[in-house]
Amino acid sequence: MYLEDTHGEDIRFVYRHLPLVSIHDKAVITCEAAEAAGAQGKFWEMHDLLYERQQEWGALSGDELNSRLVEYAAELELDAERFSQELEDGVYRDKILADYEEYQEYGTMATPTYVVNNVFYPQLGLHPFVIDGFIRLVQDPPQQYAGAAQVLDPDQGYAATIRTSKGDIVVELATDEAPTNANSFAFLAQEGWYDGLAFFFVQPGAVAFSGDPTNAGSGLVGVNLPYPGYFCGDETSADLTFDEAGVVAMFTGGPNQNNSQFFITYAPQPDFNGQFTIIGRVVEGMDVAESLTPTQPGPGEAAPDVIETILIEER
Amino acid sequence: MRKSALILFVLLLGLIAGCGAESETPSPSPSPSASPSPVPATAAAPAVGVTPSGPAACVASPLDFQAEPRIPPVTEDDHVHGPADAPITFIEYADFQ
Repeated sequence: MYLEDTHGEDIRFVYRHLPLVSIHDKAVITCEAAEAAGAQGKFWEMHDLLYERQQEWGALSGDELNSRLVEYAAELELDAERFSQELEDGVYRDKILADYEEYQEYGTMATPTYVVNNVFYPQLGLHPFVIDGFIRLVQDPPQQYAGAAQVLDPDQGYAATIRTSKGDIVVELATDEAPTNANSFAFLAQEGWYDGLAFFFVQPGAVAFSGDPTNAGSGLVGVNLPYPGYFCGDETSADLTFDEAGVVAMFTGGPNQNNSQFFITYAPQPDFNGQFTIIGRVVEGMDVAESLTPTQPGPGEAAPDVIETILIEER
Repeated sequence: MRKSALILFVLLLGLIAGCGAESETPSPSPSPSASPSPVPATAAAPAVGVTPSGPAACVASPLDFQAEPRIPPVTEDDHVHGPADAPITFIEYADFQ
C-alpha cells in the first residue's frame, strides 16, 4: 500500500469496520468474513481478497454469497468448516454492529473515512499523495501567522525574484491593483515560507502551481486550507486580466480564501478573470518558467523543480 | 464562475481526486466538527466576471486540526499493520462493499 511503502516504519495502519448497513446490504456479512478469517490469523489476506474480488461477490446474495465466502476461505487455506460455522452462527456480528453504532457518534461517516493521529481527514479527495500531504501537515504543521505584516511601501514598485532550480523568474508585483495580496506574497517570501517548496503541478500550455507546503496540491481539491494561518480577500481588477502568458496569481479554492498558493500562466486564461487575484506579471525569465519540469502530484511523476527562495526588491 | 475554474483545475490535475480509494466513492459527508473551518467569518459572495472586488483584508484562520478524543484507542483487538510506536497512526473506517 502506498502510505506504508512511503512511510515505512513511521506509520501504523489500522482497519476498522464501518458497515454502512442502510445502503450496503452485504457489508456486515463481508466484515464477518474478514473477522472469521482473522480468527484464523488471516484477516489481512481476506481483507485484500474481498477488495480484489468486489465485483465478483458483489453480484451475489444470500446462500450464494455465503458459499462464495467459504470458497475464499478455502482458497486462503483456512479451516473452511470452522469459518462457515462462525458465519452461520453470527459469532462476530454483534461486535461489528456495536462498533458501528459507536462510530456513528462522531457524526455522519462515509466509507472510507480516514483518521490521522485522531484527526479526521477532510474532504480533500482520496489520492494517496494528497493524503500523504495531509499527514505531513498534521505531523509537522508549517509556521502560522495571524496575518501579513506590511512589508511593501504602497508608493514603491517591487519585483519578486523567484529563484528556482532552473533559474530566476522575475515578477513585477501588482502593488496598485492587489496591494493586500501582493504584500502577503512578499511577506511570506521574506519569511522564507516558499523556500524549498515545489512547482508541484506544471502543465505546459496551461499553468504552473506552487506555494502548497505539502507539495501535494491538496488545496486544489475539496477543502481549501489556510496554510500560513490566514486567508486574504480577493482583489480582482478590471485592469488586470489573464490575457497572456506570465500572469502570476494567488490560487484559492473559494471566495476570499487566498493563502500561500500561487500559479503562473503559460497562456491566456480568460476563464480565470475575476476568479483569481492577479499579483503580478513575469517580466524576466519566462523561458525559465516554461522550462519547469511538467509534473503533477502522484507516484511515478517527474520530480518537481523547487523554489530555492524568493527575493523581494524595490524597482 | 469560480466553480468552473476550479473544475478546470481539477481536470488539469487528472485523477488527483478520484483514484486512490480502495473501494467506493465516498458519499459527500460534511463532517463539520471534524474538518478545519476554512471559511472565514467575513467570506463574501464570489466575484463574477471581471467585476473588481473592493479593498481586501487578511483574516486569521489558524490551521488547527482538532483531534477527536472519542476515537477509541488502538488495542490488541484492532487489525494493525506496522510498529506500535510509529509516529503516525492511520485509521481507515471502511467496509468492503
